[in-house]
Amino acid sequence: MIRSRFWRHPASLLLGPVVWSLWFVVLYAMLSLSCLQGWLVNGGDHPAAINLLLAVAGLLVTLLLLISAWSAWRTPSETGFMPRTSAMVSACSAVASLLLVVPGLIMAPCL
Amino acid sequence: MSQAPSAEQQARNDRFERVWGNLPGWGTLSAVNHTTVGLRFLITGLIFFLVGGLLAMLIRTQLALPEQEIIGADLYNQLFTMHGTVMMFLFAIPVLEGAAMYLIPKMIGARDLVFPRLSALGYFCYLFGGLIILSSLFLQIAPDSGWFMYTPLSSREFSPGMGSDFWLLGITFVEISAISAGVELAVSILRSRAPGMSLQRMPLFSWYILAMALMIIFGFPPLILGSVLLELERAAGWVFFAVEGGGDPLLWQHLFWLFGHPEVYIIFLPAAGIVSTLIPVFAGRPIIGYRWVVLAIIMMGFVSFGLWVHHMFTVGIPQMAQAFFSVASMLVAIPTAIQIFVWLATLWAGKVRFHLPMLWIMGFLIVFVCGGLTGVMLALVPFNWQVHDTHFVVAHMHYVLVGGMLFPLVAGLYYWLPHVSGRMPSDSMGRWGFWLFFIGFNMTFLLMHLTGLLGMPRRVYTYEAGLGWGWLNLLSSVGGFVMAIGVATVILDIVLHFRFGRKASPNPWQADTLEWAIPMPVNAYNFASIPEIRSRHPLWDQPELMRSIPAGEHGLSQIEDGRRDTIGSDAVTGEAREVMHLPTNSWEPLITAAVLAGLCLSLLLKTYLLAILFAVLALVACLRWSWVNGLHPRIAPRDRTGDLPLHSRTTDGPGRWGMIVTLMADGTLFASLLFGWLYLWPVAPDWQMPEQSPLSVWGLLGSGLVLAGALGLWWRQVQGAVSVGGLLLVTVVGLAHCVALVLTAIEAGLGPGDSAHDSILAVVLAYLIFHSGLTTLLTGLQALRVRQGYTSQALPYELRVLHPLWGYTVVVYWISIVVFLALPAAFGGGA
Amino acid sequence: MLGLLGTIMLLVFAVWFIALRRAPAKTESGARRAARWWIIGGGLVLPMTAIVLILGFGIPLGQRMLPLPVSDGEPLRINVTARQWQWQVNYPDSGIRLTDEVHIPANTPVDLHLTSDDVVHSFWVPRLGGKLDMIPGHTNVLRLQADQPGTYRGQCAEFCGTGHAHMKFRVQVHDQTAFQRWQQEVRE
Repeated sequence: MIRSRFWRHPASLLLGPVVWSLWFVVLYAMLSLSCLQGWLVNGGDHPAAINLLLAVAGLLVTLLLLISAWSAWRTPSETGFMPRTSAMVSACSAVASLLLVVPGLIMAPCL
Repeated sequence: MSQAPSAEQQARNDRFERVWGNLPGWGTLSAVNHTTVGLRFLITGLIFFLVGGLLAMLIRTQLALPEQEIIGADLYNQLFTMHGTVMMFLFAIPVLEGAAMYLIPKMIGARDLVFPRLSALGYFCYLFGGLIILSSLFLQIAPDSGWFMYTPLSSREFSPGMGSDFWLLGITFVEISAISAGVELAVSILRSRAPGMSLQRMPLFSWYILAMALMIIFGFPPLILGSVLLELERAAGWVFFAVEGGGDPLLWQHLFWLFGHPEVYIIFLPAAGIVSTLIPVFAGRPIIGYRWVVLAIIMMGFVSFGLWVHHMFTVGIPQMAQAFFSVASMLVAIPTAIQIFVWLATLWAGKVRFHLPMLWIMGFLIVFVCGGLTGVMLALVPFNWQVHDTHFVVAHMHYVLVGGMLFPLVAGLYYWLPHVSGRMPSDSMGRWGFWLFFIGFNMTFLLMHLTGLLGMPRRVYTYEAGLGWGWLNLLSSVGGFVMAIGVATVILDIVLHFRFGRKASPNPWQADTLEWAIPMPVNAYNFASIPEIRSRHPLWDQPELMRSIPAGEHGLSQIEDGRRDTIGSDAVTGEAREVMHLPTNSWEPLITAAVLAGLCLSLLLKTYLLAILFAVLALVACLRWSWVNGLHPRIAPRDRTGDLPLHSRTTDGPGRWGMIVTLMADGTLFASLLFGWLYLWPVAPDWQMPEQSPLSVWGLLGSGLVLAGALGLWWRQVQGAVSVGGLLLVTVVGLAHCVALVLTAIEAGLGPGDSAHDSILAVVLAYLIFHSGLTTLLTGLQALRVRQGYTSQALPYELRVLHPLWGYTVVVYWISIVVFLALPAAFGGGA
Repeated sequence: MLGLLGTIMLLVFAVWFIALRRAPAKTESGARRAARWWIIGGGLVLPMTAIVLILGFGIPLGQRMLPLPVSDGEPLRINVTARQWQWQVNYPDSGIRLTDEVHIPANTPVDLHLTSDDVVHSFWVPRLGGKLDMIPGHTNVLRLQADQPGTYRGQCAEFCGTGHAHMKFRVQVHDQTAFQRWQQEVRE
């Protein structure tokens, strides 16, 4: 199966952190752009639509990473090294992605 | 070895030594052997460390009492700038690279790194670049804008002297060594492990160095780009960082810290690798939580790229954006804590032997944990606003860097000394050295936290009396001198041990890693035979290796055709795939580095005609280097007879891997350039986007289509019939593309002296022309090599090396068209 | 925060020293079980708890330092422009111009609009609040509020060249009436 082959390959170790990095870049870029252009920020000195949008996106990314962690964990392999380690890395990335949006819950986006 | 080697074994060793040894006398400058080059890196780095330390002593002398005028402001600014520069760029990174170069092949069961000449080139670039930078200090025109060279202070207007040029050109020159070390360490770890050493059986140190190497690949290009742009701004008057004309000084800060923060982890990871190697040995048991450490390394490698803005919390970035970086900065505490507790758990479960290296590991733990915790405090934005740019930050940084790098490094130095010298270090003098250093260090920097909290900013050459800073500074200075005595003691101890140390027994620390199976003192070829590895701890689980490796009972125990051979293996499973044939002693690295040094100096002296001459010479030197390769009669005209082929007879050898890793660095450089464009466009206060791009759309599209055509033709060569004519056709089409591109660039009439927009376009065009030209040129050379019979349809090794470069050239071309032509057309001027 | 982090530090040191001294684990499985608790507890739970606590305390604190809109009226605006190596202070409402000194009323939010004419500088009054960089081409707003009248030391915190160490200024905090009187005097 392609899925199990992927999780047994060391490249899968990088999946979680790569998703985390992309999410980080997108998060920063989206916020900066909307502040510069005035999209969804409603003046920018109170939490606005953009906060909600980022929070929801953050939840989605977290969910995605948790699902991949689960999928990796259940992959059978001889020593269990790669799939299990990948699962742990993905789970850590999920937590890291989630924590990133915490400040967005209460802060004004553009001050 | 305890028992004397047999006559047969001795004869084999002599044969190996003849093939692998350096040339005598001046010929030693042509050495490419990783043991030699690694040690040269280490010794040169330690000398630069002493220079940096001397500068620190001068700084502490000046600050010892308030309102002193021993050293004036001008000289002081040069001193602290050079202290930071020397310690970071000329000591910390090169020394760790050197340690990794020395150790990695020995730990993974190889006889050398896969690109030995590249390591020698790296060394000479480092040496010459370091000397160039240092010479500025003796001429009293050293850089004086701080080691992070913030613009506009470092710009031509505010630093009219040559100081900044020394920094920008010298550091970029030195960075060649970092990138080359990154490429070759990564490829060596992935492709030259002893058979059977799958990824999960690698010693942890290799994981750390692999991460470090890849981080160098992704971390250094932003700095290299920044330095090139700033030098263009200074020397040619182009605009990138000056507000007038559409630049932004903050772009420099972003580029610098995009490099600068990962760099801290580039320094920390190998040091942590030393800790992870030593602790299990002295605890006498395997590390508990190998997998957790791998996880921590990976997370650290990635998260550390998301922290750079925490050096910029006071530049006025919106709070919420800062908060993301604040969270990311704290997240890095998790992988750090995982490692600390893995080490703890290993010590907890094992029986600890307390030797000298362990003392330095304990010092590391105490100092580094303190530094880590102040780091968490600094990650908090409001606190950061208070102590940013004060002596608190200076103290934090020294706790993290000295604690996280120097303590483990000295531990490792003591640990591996017997490997180099065959003698044990003394215990008593070593202890004196440690305690003097440890007490002096804490006296200097623990107090400095308080000095900072009391409001003393960093980088002031003097301060008023009566602010309550006087006694703290005095004690810090005294501590600094105690630390210096500690360093002197350690150095004396190490020097004396070469003469008086007692002879070391084989594997003196009862370690588990392969390097201790090498007879001491170290030889040139590491292993007389390369064993099959069946465990994560080869010397614990296969103790017979201590005898059987030197006895030649394993693979590649014979010299064939006078070649230097090592085993190439699968990146994942570690199965043997080919025999890698490594180059022998060569003058090419020295010649190339000398020409590059000439280029650096002529740019520094602004003699541009000479610079062009040197650039051409450098190109010739590199091409000549690449010519004598593969099936060339001087290298390896015939294949082996054994079961494994020579790597030059395969299609997926180290060259291709090296090319791909190099392109990752190149791609990061390009991405940094895209970042500069996408950053300045919306952010720079005076940015002007013209209504219509000065570049001809038809010119670029047409030239791009020709390039795509060339790629198509190339593809057919790689896939199908290789022929001289076919390759020449590709070359001609590629050349047509280059000419079209150059004409389009000339026709655009860019004014890079007037606007940042034009400056960036000019840099992009130069980048594209360089890549197209290089790819075309190398294809032309391939045509010649096919004619000479050095490469062919049956043996397309080199075509496979070149293949990724073709793909890359085409991809960056079309990305450039989208980003620099289509995006502005879609989102228009004035945005 | 200092207390929390200090406690963590001492605990980590203490456990390490015990680990160094204690007898080795009896069985491998026991060692692994203990290790799992150490790593999960110390490597994951401990730092995550600390992060959440510190953020929970720090983010609201940072929020209070922001130039948020004030409920009654506008905060007093002062423009400060740095150059090598002095501070040009300008009160746009009253037209007052000063060099190397800032006068502000006590217990009133003040917005300092900071920029630079040449290189990057940084505005910092250690006893009144955080620092903020002054960058050519950009204007940053620093919100200060002094509780006590008096004289405060200020200085440049970002290295700005030869005169950096001597680039200082003085902040004079008056109570409300004294501040009005001072404005009158200066204007005359």
